[in-house]
Amino acid sequence: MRTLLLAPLLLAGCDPEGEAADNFEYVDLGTFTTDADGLVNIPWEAPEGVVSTEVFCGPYGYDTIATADDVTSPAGTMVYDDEAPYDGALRVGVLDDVLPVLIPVSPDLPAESGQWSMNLFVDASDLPASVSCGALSRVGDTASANLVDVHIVFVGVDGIAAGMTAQAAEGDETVQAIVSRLGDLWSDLGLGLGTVRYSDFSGDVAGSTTIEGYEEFGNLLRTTEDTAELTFFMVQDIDLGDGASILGLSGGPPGVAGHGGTSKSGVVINVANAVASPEQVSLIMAHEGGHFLGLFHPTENDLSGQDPLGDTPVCSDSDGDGGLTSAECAGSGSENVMWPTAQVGTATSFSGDQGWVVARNPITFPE
Amino acid sequence: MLNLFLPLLLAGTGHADEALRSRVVDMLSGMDSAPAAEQWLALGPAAEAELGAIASDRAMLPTQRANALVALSNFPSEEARGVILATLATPGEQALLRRKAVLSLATGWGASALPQLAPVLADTDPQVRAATVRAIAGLPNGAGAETLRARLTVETDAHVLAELRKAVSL
Repeated sequence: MRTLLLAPLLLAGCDPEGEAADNFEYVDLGTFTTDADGLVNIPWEAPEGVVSTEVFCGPYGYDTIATADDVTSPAGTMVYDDEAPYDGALRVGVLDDVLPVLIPVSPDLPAESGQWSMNLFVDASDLPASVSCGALSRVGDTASANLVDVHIVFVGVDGIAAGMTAQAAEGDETVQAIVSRLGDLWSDLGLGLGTVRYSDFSGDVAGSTTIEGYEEFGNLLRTTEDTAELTFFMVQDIDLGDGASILGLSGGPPGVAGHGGTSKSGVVINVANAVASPEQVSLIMAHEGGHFLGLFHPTENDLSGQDPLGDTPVCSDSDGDGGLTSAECAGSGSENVMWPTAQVGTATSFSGDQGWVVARNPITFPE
Repeated sequence: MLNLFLPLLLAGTGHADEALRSRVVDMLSGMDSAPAAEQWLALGPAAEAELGAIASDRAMLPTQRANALVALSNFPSEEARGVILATLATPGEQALLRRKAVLSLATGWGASALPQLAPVLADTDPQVRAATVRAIAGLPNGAGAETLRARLTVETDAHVLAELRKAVSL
């Protein structure tokens, strides 16, 4: 029932605002029903001159997860196989509610025109399940210097830093330092800040400023507008259910670009440390924004996988304890902004391949 | 003879402490994930002292202190409990830390923490009160049900009242 009720949200008209909106087109692929094993084939067409293409399906609810069994390119090549998820040049999440798949996330698998297809697997308790899908493809030019428009939404965080309101942000030293430092960090990607706008969250602030669990996270992201911007929600805390605070969380990754109203349509940032370390908030925004735009951790610190890029460092478990620390990976990953723990002042760089990926995301555009 | 080796032994210990401290701080600083209980326990009992020191250290970042409080629930000793209670007793301590302290008490010490948790239902910050409601509601065997029902007649904040009503209807 939840799927049926929420489906219109995903299929709401897509007429996004923002500079990048001229670069891409959205196609409503319609509703698909899985077989009794939870599988369904989702074909979508990438147009001539495609730079990037993203398909997304859902909503299937927060209690259900889905992934791609496989993804096949227009040339008929299987470019993703969930039996070996870290072997190829594509990464696909195992996600609740909505599953986005973005191409490219590596120069080794550029977007190409023609028919792509994904065998979607929905692990629902009640099968068959129905999902709605859409595809968004960017066409046009790419460049080495790009911009992204940013929308910062304050969700009841003026108690942490008084300037964190739509009215005060433009003239607030802390907020402007955070935004400026974000621009500095992203400049290593060849990415600059386009238009930056600020809003106050207009929904249930008390119920949304401390995010507890993926459902609250997803519901906050569902409030995004249909926009070609990268939306950051600034909150007091994020706890995914075990009590510990995490610093940020991106829809996806990668996020659903250029299409609002889904549980993967933005990024949430924990600003609890904003006064003590505005630099850290910039780093969190650069990192989670990087996820949204198609970047992954160079190496997972639990050794569960690595990104699909050839020029990001791979750290090995030199002390053999089954995990990685930032000290252990000094010189082999922890200097990268996409390193999985916050290394303020140390994690300041991106690789060339990371810049290549971001330059092709649907919501970035040539400077 | 021992005197000759003592500085070397101390230097070795210091190095080990430094490595442990660095690892603990790293684990408290996850961008988008947090360590599981087993990862904390794998560090051994020395981690408890580091977590206690970080939780009490105002020079550390709020989220690092908060996560240290939460991680202390994996080491449910009287020392760890003392660190958490000291956080709750510190005037003007940040709401984030008070929220994590009540959660950690409930997780690590269960129903025995109810006498320390119940007064926090009257905290000045609604977010802290809401977190305390959830922490008490999660105590085993409905140990906090009566405490929560009593609070229903006193609470005025709409968000906390919603949490209370949800908790007592479970």
